[in-house]
Amino acid sequence: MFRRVHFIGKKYWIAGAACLAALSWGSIAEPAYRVEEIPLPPQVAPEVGGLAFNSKGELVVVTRRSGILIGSPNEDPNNFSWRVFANTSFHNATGVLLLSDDEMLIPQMPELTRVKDTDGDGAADWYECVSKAWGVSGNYHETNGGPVPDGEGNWFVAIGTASHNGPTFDIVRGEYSKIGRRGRNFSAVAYKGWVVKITPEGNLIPWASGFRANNGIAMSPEGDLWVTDNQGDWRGTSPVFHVEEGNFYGHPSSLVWDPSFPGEDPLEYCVEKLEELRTRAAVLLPQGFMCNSPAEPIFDTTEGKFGPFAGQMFVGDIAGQRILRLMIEKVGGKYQGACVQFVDGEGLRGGNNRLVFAPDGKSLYVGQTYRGWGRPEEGLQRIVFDGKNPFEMHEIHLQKEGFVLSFTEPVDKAVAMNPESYDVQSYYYNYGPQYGSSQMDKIDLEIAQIAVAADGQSVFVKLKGLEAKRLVEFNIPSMKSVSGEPIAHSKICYTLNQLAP
Amino acid sequence: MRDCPPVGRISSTPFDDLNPCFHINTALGSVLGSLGWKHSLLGLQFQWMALNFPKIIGIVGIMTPIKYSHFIRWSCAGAAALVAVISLQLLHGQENENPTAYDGKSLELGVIPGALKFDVSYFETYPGTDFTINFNNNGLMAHNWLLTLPGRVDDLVTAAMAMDAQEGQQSGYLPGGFPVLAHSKLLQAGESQSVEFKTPSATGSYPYVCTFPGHGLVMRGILKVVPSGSELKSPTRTQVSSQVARRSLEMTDVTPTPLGTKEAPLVIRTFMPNPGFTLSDLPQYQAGFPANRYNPSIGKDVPGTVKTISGIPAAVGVNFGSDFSYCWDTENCRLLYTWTGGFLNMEVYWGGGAGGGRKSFDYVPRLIGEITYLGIQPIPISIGSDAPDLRPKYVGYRMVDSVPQFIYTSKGAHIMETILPGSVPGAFIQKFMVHGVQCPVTLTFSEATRSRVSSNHGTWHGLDLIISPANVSGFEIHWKSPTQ
Repeated sequence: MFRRVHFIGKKYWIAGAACLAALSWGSIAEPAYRVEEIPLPPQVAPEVGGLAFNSKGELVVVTRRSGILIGSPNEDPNNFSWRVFANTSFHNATGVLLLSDDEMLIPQMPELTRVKDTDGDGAADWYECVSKAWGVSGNYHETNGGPVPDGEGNWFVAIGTASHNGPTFDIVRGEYSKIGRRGRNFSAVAYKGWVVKITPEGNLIPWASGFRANNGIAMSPEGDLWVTDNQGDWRGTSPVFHVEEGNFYGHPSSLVWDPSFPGEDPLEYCVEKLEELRTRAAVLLPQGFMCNSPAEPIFDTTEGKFGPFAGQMFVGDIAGQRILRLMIEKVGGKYQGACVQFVDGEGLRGGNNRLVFAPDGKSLYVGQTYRGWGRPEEGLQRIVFDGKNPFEMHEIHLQKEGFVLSFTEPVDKAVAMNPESYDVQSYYYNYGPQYGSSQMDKIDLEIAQIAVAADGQSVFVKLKGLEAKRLVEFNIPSMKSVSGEPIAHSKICYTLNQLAP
Repeated sequence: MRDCPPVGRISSTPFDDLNPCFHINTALGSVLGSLGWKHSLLGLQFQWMALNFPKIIGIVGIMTPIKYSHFIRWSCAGAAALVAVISLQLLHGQENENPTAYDGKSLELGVIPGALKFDVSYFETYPGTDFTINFNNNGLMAHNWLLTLPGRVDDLVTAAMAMDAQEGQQSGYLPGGFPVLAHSKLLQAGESQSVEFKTPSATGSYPYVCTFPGHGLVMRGILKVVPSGSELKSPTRTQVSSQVARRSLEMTDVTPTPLGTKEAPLVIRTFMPNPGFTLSDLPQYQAGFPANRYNPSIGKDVPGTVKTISGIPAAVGVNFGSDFSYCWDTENCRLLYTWTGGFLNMEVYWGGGAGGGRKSFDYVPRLIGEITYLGIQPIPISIGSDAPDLRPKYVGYRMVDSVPQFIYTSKGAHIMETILPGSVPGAFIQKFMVHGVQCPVTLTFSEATRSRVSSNHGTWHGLDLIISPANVSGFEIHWKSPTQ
């Protein structure tokens, strides 16, 4: 049994030592991933709203105002050749789904549009309105993400709320709700703050409510739907949700379009009532040091070609020069898990909005747009895996009284056994109408026991006082592999919705 | 710092509501230190926010003194965010200060692309010199250059920020009633202008500034008039490494004023300007309403109202070059208006130059040019003897020889409409194809529109143009220019 002893400066000393170690290591170790810049033609504003690869291995880039480009990738990032597929300006296109090499669905502000090359000349000539079953209030903030196939012929679309940083129009499309218009982020017209299904006939099926700025939607290989959302009102910090039909995910404005709330003003519900109704995030991404504006999630389906994280989720940050990696597990039948930086700076721009794996699985393409906090952060980059195994936390699994941390390389047992190598804290974020939340009731968790597996690949850390509905944050900057490589990203935050049964 | 106040024009289109705090958290300390935080700047920021965010005034109205101080802290945070954002740009920028050649009579002046900064922020002259500023806006956003008297720059900036967009664009953000010794016009990204003026006869430090909203707090410099005969210091020019330019939109050719051509018109889906349509003119839309202001930190409405703004939610803009543009509405499935002399200024929605900030409560793109057809009254199309359909259904548009053909259905008919520029500016042709029906089609004009149109098919009965079943699959309405 160990007891944490704190004295001023210790953490800094450890951090400093880690930095020195990292610097000295840096001179001999190449990073496992490198970031490459891919220039777009100068006629194009590289504000990327959608990215996809077609069956020919060409990269489809949907922009905010310069239409759709198709590029032939090249090993030399400066040597892509580009052609224009759609020379038009969509209204805030924020996604793409390829139906074939000649046909794709583009969600715009007023409609889901089928964009198709019907005469085979390589350029689109048909812009069909597939659905316009949602409202348009005139507020700039109403984004439509996706579409994501549901496996039954329909498409999921994530519809974001409007923002009080802009007005609405005197004429709107669709029914207007005065109570839906209340609030900071609001839902004056249907179905802002929902994830909906669009049928091939263009009909809309409301699916799940309670979203705010749900600018990221993806289906896992297992067929689970995942949606990211942004810190703000009713969002203490940015959440990543596993979305299931009929659930409510916490932002109340959308409830005005839920027929089971006839005439009620959801903002007048007390927080406790909404707390009971809401489904919690599977993973919370702490504001500030972890992520400020999560966008599209993507699952690593490369089966190892992109490194050791097969099956895990990556999420881009619009408001930071970083991409996160999520380590998710099922506890008591529900998903929960942890987040860690995957790329943090390292040549990456901010505005990390859309992600797609190259067909060969060796690189992850990143479409960027800021839309725009300050200086434009717009463009296209790719993260290339060079085949060298990085030293990272690989997985984290909740146990009855602690966690099993596994690593991508065997750990240095002396370091891993030393309780001073672990700084573990616990806190929660408030739920309510306020914009964001501080870390509440932040406490140090005492380490009760450490055990390192014989192969050095995993460590069991027994903790005192684990509680549900809190985050557990590990800081392990001094962790190193048996070969002396320092851990690349040392801060890991686990969202502990429920304790292990 | 949980709640991040809006940072004015720096905030922008769709995702700007996501999360600004990163900038503040990471950069605040270094920024305040490095940029020499001053109370005057804070005060100005306060005024600026007050002018630009009347909703905050609404909140202030009910604030206790304690909360008022909280509000000032917000303002401080807003300014910090603004400065932090800029600072981050500079930090990325790897700026170098280099002495520049200088004859004391003229200066090449540019900006730091992507930042709110002149590339020369200090230079000296003698009194009464005939001076030329060659101002090149090599940046991403619109900028101007105004020289004013010592001590007057803050008021000047505040007055410019209080202007509404139209007033500002028209005057180049040059407020009346202030001493302006010399100024450029408002230059879009890529534009330049030479400004000739006589330097002041009195020695002193004369501030210059860009008064474009949001820029004037930081985008400043000093012209120092030194006694004749004293040595003139060479100004230094800030230069930014090419890496930064590559990272920005600067390297693109895009502008906020896109244009198509006659051969390949440009189609834009965006919020379209509403030059006077009401709900009754556009029955497929519904009414929107003003709303109470709301304060999330107390979870309640607060005094004050957020007004609605005017715009068409779901129309399409099409441009054939400077002579012809039109707006077609996908909800009511009809031509709304045409214009000549340009297309749209998207700056309020996309940001100036190659990109940047949305105008917070006034972001509907502006028409450039003059309206030459305003179809407030619809021209109803009746299929057979049925009354005109008020609920047509939009299908999509097809590009036929690079020109959009809009398609919609109405009472079983499939209607295709192509709009082309006519032989003179302001004239245009509507080509209709009605499929799926075996009956005549009637278009009903008004007195005013009847005098402007002719048709290649059909017979006129008063204001009704009746197209026989043989010709419904292809007929044209020719519109004269309003001056023809």
